[in-house]
Amino acid sequence: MKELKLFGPFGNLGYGGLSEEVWERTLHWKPDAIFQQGTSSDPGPGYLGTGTSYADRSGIKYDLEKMISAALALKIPLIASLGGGGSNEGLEWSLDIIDEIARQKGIKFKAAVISSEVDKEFIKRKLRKSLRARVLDGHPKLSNTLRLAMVDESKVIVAQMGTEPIMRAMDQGVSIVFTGRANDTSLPLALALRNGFPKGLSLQMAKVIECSGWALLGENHIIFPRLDPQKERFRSPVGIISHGVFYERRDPTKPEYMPGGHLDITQARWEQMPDGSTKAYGGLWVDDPYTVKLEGVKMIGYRTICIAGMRDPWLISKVEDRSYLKMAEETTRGKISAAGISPQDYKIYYKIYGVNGVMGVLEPQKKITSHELGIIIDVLGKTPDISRAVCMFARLQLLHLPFPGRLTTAGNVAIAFSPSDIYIGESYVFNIWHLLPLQGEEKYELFPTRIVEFPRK
Amino acid sequence: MDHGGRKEMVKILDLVSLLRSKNAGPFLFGFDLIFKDSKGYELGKKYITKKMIADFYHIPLEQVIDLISYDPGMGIKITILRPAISGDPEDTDVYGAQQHVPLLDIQLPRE
Repeated sequence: MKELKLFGPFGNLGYGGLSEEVWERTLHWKPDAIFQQGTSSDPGPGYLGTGTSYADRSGIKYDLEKMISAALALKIPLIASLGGGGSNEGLEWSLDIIDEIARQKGIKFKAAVISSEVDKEFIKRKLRKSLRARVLDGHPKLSNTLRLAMVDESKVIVAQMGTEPIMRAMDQGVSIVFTGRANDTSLPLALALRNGFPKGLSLQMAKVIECSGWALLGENHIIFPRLDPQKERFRSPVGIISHGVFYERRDPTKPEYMPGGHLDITQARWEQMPDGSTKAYGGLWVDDPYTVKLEGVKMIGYRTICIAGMRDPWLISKVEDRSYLKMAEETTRGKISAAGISPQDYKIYYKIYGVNGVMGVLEPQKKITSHELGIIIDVLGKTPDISRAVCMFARLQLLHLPFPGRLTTAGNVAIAFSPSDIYIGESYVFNIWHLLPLQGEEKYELFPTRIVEFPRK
Repeated sequence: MDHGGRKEMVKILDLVSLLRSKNAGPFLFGFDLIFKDSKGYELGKKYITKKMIADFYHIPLEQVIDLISYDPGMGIKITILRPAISGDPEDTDVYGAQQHVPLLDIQLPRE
């Protein structure tokens, strides 16, 4: 094939954002394949831990319906990653939506479904054979190598799949593929490699449009056309590079690491064309050992929060000199101990907007210049009951603390809501962010594939 | 341009078309500085250092992980260690989208 037109509709599955006009223009452009990312670690560990989606169900349904209808009408492939964090729970939740679409629209189709949740025993077997899985981005709070205990502690672990499982699934004669957690670039890249395009050029293309866009891939160069004039980032090479290369990456000269290799664009060229499109070429694929990135989360307790505001200038001055919250927390701890709850079973965090609620320890400004403060009491408890009880005590002390010298004997803060305490539920942190080396067929075995007929029986 | 021994300074805001922060994974903050023209970009490449970033954030130099420029994008990418992992209880910015503000005060010598 001499040319391949690739189309990624939405920034993320469920977020929508393309006008009807641009959608129609794209269909007239006659894309050869559609891809769509719907998994991410960026919204934090909570979604992988709870198996919930960071995009709303109705938005996801709307986007999927548009893409599936277009792929079937144009008889072109569709590859989409599904399920937020990428766990089996999130994937199944998404397949239910697809099932509903098929039933409601009376359409029938086959799809390959590739899951990405990793069996803990698989990882542990490899670790026991003294295999080293090193951390991807070193951090003082994370072990440099993956240990058995970390695998046991995690609630769920997913692996980011490369192109191989997707391409093998398509070999089975299906043109629609739904995956769990995948490298966003794997989706357009699999389509390009299946059509025989070179790896370096294809990954340069995939990196730019992984989170939506259009690309016309040729044998020697890529054209990024401007099908949506509203999308400013496609206006110039600098716009394309700033979004498609710099964004969320550590090294703009090597902006994508995949299982088995990475992209080097040090020598790549990006040229503005007279019609406003951008022409690009020169990206190189550099082989690396075959590893997949593992993402794991562990539960750290149950969260309850309370939102309050402070307006009294004298009290605000006592927040600035740190004395007010110190006393509020100490008094709270005393009341909690009196209620029979152990100090080991909970933690209280105060997030204070107007002080350092946004930048935390990095906040360079120490003086409060705002006339009001926003305070979030954030409680982690060992059980849901402890979490709720501690938040209540913390709220009462924030509100009624008999701080020496106060005039505000009716209440020191404004409570935003009734009921005042908001129970959030299970709380998670990332505890695994490591590269797992794979050998031979393991790159397929780790990602079980099944063929599903929609609507499901 | 030298005025009595003191170099004239230019504000970073007059040089860039984009200045932002965002996670580069849950363990790092990334800062993007995209310049309006090659003149400003060359100034940035010449004078923005890891030491300067460490000073602006009051962090040890070794916590400034990378400072890498890319000519075709007229951009400089800086990554620093996140003080808290994204989503940890101590974290204040899950996406890392509001950590760039100290960089707005950068000034570079005009040449």
